[in-house]
Amino acid sequence: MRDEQQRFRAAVLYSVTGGIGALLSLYLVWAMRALIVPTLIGALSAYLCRPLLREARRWHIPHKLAVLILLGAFMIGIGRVIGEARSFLTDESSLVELRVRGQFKINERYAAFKQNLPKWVLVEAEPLLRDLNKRLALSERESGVFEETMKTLDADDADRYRAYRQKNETHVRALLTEESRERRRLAKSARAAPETAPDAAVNESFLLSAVGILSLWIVMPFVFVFLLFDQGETLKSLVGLVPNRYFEVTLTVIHNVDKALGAYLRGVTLECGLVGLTFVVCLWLCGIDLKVCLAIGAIAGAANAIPFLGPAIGLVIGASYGIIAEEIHPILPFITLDNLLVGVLVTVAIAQTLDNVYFQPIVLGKAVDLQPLLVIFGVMGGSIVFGVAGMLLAIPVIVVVKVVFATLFKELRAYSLI
Amino acid sequence: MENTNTLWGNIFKPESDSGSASRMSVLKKIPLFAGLSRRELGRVSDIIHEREYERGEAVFLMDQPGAAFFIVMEGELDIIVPQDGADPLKLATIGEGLSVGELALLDASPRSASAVASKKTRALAFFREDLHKLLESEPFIGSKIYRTLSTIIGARLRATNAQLQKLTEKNGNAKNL
Repeated sequence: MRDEQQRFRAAVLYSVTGGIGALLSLYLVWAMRALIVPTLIGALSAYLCRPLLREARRWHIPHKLAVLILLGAFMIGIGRVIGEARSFLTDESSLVELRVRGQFKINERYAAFKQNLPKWVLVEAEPLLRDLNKRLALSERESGVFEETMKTLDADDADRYRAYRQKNETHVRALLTEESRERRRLAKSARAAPETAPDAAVNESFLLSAVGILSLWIVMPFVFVFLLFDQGETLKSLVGLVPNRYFEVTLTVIHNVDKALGAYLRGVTLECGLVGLTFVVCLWLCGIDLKVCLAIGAIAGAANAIPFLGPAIGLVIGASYGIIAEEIHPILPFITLDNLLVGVLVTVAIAQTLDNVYFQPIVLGKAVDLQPLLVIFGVMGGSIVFGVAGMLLAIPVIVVVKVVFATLFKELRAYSLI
Repeated sequence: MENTNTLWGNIFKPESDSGSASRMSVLKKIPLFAGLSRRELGRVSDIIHEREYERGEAVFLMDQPGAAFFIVMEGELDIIVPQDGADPLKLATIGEGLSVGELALLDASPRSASAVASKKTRALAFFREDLHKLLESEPFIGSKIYRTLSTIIGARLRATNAQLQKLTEKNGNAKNL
């Protein structure tokens, strides 16, 4: 009798504390949902580095030293990328020059293609182009910077860029005149003009959101470093919470998930690398500077990890450069500045064909046997809930969920638990 | 109820005073790890799982796929074969510093008997896939363990053959009589 009462009290205590614990955990997950994506990306990055650490162990390099070497290599790599980007992006004179060249080239190409474009495309493209021209137009101070920059260039280039700027200004003036005429016409009919938000407010909100994003993403490197140093202790302590009855099943499921996720991530990394390499080789054959080829190849290759959207990103970046390129040294004799854009489009087509026909089937193989419809919904759902990062993480998460369920039920049956 | 207790016991278990040192001292006595140096034993100790079983709780059951090899740190395990409508047949008792389920390190073949804790028991579990990973990342440790495992299994096979031969001879003698 006493024994029964004791059991009853224990059951009540466990149920109540378990319930409170579960509710609290759910609340915490919901409250900290913004941290889920940075944490997952940090964990995934650490997971991707695990084979390197295993390889280091094969060479008798102690784990902590291997992690420090890896982190050092990462720091140097990131430092170099940031350095390159900063030298290009924070140098105002280069940016201003690029804007002038870009604006001129976009208008020039648009004018050349305009006659061949259908009317519905023109209706969509005109406002976009007008907006882009206004954004790229130089302010008075920037015009001063531009003039200073021109003094440092050789005479031919400086004259050419000055001519570009003059044409850009004429174009923007024409646009503004047309726009004010349009506004007057609209004002007459509606007698009301939309209020625009003050620039300061826009800047402030941008700054606040940038700080907010940074404070959230700061968790990513911490998770990454923590998991790199971890030698399975976290997993062991989690397995320690599993009741003895499910111990072997849990270990088997974890192993299967690890195997499937590892195969998928290794496959995708290799596939992205091959796509990036195809971009580099083809663009280099088109005569684009090797440094630019490597940058476009790296971005296009990395973006390829996102199903459907990745190829589009590669296309936009490649085509953007194809439009603004000033000088090329083509290996293929039939490539000129005028048809470089076609060369870039062919590059994207070759990369995608090779990816679909060879890279994916050979490299990924049966690593992920997912229904295309599930992939589409997964990627769309990921983008709706977590944005671009969600799109990137959607497939690995689907792989994990699929393997967990498939293995769990199989193992539970094998262990006569269901 | 027992499982619930184990779960909560695992969550709130007190800090083990023995810890890694006690695990190492147990591992040192296990024939499977006999050829390993102290540093190599430390690596095995890093990947091994520690479990606690209540009296009467099963460590593994007959016919279930084997995934881990168990070493008794404290307590005792009964190796039994369940009998239809009768008490289970007790084959052996595995005490402190002894191990059970080496064959699970080779493949997921069904267990040939059940192991049940006859008193509160603390055991170490060595997962097969962890051994495979060890073989890949540190082949010099993994291969030593596999070599010892094959020696142990070979010795058992020879013992079984000898027993079988004795039984055959006994049966032959009985027939002749």
